[in-house]
Amino acid sequence: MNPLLQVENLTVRFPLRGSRRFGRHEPEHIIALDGVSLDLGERETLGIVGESGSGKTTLARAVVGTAPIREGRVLWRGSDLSGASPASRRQVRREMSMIFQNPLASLNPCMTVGQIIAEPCRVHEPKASGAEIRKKVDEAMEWVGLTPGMANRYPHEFSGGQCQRVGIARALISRPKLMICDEPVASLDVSIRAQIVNLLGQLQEEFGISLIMISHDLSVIRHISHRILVMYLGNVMETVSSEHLLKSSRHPYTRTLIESVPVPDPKIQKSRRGPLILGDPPSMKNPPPGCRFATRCPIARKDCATSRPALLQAGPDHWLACPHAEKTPT
Amino acid sequence: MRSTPRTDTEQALLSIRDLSVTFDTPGGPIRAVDGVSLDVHPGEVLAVVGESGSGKSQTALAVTGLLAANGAAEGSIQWHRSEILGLPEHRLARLRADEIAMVFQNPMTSLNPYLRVSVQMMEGMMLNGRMTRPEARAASIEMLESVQIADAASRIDRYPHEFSGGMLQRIMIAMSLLRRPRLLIADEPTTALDVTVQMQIVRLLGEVRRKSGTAIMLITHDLGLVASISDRIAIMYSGRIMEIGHTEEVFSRPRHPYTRALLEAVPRLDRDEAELQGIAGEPPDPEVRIPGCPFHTRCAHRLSQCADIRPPMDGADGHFHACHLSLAP
Repeated sequence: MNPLLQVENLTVRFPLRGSRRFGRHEPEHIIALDGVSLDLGERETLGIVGESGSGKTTLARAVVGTAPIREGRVLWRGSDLSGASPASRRQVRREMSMIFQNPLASLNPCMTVGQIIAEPCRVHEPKASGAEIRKKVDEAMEWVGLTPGMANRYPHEFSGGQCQRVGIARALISRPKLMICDEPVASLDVSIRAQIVNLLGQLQEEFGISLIMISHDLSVIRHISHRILVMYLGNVMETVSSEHLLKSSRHPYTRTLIESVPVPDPKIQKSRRGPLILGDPPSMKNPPPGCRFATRCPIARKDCATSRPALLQAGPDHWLACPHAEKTPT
Repeated sequence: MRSTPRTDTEQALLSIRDLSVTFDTPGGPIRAVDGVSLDVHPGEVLAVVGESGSGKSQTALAVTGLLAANGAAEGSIQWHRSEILGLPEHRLARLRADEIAMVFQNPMTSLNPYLRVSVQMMEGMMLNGRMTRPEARAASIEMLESVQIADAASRIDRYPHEFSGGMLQRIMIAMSLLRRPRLLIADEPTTALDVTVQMQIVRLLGEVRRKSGTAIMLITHDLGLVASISDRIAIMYSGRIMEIGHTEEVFSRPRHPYTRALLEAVPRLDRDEAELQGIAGEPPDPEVRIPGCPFHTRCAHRLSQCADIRPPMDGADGHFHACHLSLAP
């Protein structure tokens, strides 16, 4: 059986504005994604983690078809989306939905939340009657813990956590098979964050959907995902099951991320040695030619700067793009 | 009037008593800070933790006299035992220049994009003829080197956009330390930065404290950050301090139900939890004044008096909490 979603060798580039001016021939593109592959099973949650500029959001956008794919393919239930007719692509799009980081900014302030939640229905089911749609909206609001009576209010009347629930209701109303959540809790307060994380987990089980969770927060990702994909500068560094993240992950970048996340316990945290690397990620305009992480890597060797390591299987459900990582993690 | 049972005010660098901050808005007054009392001692790191709207930033802004025009502060703020609340602007400006420095969340918006970093760093030191241009430049370069900006002598003449976020935050910290302040107020200094860079800034702040004895008031919502660096912690909610004490003590024996709930709501990388314990409900509307405990609507241990009677600060040995229920430690 085919997985629900397969991404093969995906490359996305964005042109740099004004790079041709004054006859300069500087690099003309930012390479946001560089040969990324992944697959996602039914009812699976895949967490994508990485720092800013790692390409997590571009990957999500490429999957739903809003980023220009330069090379590679996106397969939905085994069929290539790029060659598909607009009609079948629309059909597939109906099965995917997205939730965004800033809940207030991703809701139209001039529409009531009822209208916002109904919008995917109006697009995908133009023949549905008003009463039918209203019924679906009420239902979707209940799924996410909102009172249907609030449907006539506007987004500004809601708190950040409630706005995110509205965004989730909108994403759920067309009963998708895949929900992509791009930093769904980053802008929320700690006490609200746990509510939303739990809600997403419940909804996934209840509706049997697949989730792609994008976040820079490794603790949130590990909590909610089955499998974790670690990205750095448009490349996949490692994929590992959440269960084995702490014990089995070996890529120096993954280990750095783990070491960098502070543990909210002073007794443990104050005795940790902290991350192994210094400096900032290099520019996206001139990424290092070999391993993208080589400029900051604590175990980099000469060949790391020139040859790009392939993503190779390192164990069951464990893929690693580093030939020098030790067998046992440090 | 309520008073905190702290007795060591004499040694405190900064001593805040019953501070309230009210904003006059078209929709009526909003009380952002509601009777906050705390001390910052020389050389310590005090973390002020709270969610958005808890009043943590407004407390810091009241200390430095930087409240928005429609905001008014009441109560007492003492710096070295002399009152600074209500000081005229020129005195406050002097205080901010020489003794209390501030670093803000987003380093990109804290620096002027049109001016070279050197100009912005040297400006304060050359005010009123304190230093000559070459002296100020030398001091700036030295300070940049101390925050690990490589090649500082040539980079100092670059513009802010030529630096990464982590470097800019290091530059901001360097700039704030130029006048050797006694207190550094850091308001969410790492929130805009990536995790790998975040720990570099945390280490830098720790070094600043160790080398120059500067006290740090760290304002944050990140409990992991607090655990990494602070000596004491004040937990704020809806404009009030719910619990204050030594960091290790508060984390291992939280007394206030809100502190407990907060610690349980955070996913931890070092531990497997089946489900996160979210805190049901939302923080109260700041426009509505609550006579009792602001957390009572969300509290699992609520008692009948919680809605109406404000719990006093209670505790001993530097660990205090405001709750009618005395949770067993």
